[in-house]
Amino acid sequence: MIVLENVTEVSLDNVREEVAAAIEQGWRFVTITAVDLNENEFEFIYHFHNPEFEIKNLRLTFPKGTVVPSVSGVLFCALLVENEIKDLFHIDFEGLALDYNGTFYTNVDELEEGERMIAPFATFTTVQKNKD
Amino acid sequence: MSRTIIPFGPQHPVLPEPLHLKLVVEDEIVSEVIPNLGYVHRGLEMLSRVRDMHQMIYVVERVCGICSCLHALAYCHALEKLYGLEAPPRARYLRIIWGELHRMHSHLLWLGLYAESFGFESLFLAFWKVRERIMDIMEATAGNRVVISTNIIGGVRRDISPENLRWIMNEMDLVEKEFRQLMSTMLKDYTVESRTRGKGYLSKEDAYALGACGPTLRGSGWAIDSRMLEYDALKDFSFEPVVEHDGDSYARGVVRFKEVLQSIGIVRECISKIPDSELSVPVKGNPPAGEAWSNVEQPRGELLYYVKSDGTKNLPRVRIRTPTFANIPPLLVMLKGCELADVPVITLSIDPCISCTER
Repeated sequence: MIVLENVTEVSLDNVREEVAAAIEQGWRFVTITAVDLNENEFEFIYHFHNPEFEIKNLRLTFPKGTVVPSVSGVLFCALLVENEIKDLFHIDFEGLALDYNGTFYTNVDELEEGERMIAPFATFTTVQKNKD
Repeated sequence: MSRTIIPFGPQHPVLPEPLHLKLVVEDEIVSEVIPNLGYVHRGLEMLSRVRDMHQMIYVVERVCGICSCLHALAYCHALEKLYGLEAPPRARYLRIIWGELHRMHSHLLWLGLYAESFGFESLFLAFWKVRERIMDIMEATAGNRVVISTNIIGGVRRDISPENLRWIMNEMDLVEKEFRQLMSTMLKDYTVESRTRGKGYLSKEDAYALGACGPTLRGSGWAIDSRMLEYDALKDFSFEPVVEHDGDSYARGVVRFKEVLQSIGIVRECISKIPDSELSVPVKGNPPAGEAWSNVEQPRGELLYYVKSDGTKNLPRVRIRTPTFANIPPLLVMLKGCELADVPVITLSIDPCISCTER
């Protein structure tokens, strides 16, 4: 099976340190990809490049419902993508530098207490069409 | 000093698309900027779960009109990696020709809008007049002016006839001649310099640390351009990215000016060397399970696609990292401390594409 090159597995405990170390080593942050793996798990892939276009990936797998440590404290430019993931996948972050609280794409000024916007990636399912 | 919040956008004369910035100003100076997105969010990435991988080409082309061809190219590259395919030689040249034509018409569109942003309306129309030549080429070679739908997995759908290739060569001469006249008009103009020199400064260190890309990154002194990866026909040429070192709005404009000339050169070189071959290789069955990453240079910067396959015709995940999404954090830094009157020029200097950003 073809997989991404240069992947390091990280955990919820060390993801911030690993991201900070990548920046320290001169890697340039590209983005975070969130993948809905199955009923129980999500996966984040933190992508980095360097000026020679080598790629480095940090892969974080965690159970659904987990509050993930935000890396926006060590990497300011990650705050937009983390807010996007929060909107689309219904994943909460701890320590977001600027938390839109689930309104990043919805442009509502404020949500009622306890209210959540619908997270498309977290609620969407497909059903195979029955040929009969 | 009292602080006031002034909304910039989503409807604003200089913005071709709806971007909303909340500007916190003290007197006339911007002290803080909070971006608000979502006006054109369509959830296109999610469509990969219900559209098959071939139909998704049409979807990704509609992420953004201006660089539709390059979205399809990046997507096809990722799928070709999964299949272990390589497009035939002629297809690789045709992809670069159409890709560079897209870069030229995108930059010409931006240069017109940029001229308009500081009130240079005649120049705005002059740039768009030159751009029409590129649009005519697109229409003649692909049947459409903007969304040209030429890329498929394994190659291209259409060929360009020898007569049309000769005509494009002649058109490139005319585009270059007209463009050089406009270039000297704009770059040597006192008003243009006074409105853009030193405005929206982004240091070399900040550009890298904030994840900037494209002309925003190269205008701050970094020689980083995805075309250095020598994808498709680019491996047959020597490529040097355009770099400016001043880090201001003027430098970012100069990068785009020079890139138009560079693209003209690439198109000419492709036409002079284009080989004969099939246009595509057959693609059989579903892609094998796995994940792939592709990288092409869009007019606004590096465009990245992550594709995950589970062996079925639907892709469980297609992730699109567009350049404007990466250039918004640097924009927040550029705007901090600027005068309110400079906000439109500085915002336009990153060439924001909100359709790309929100997908």
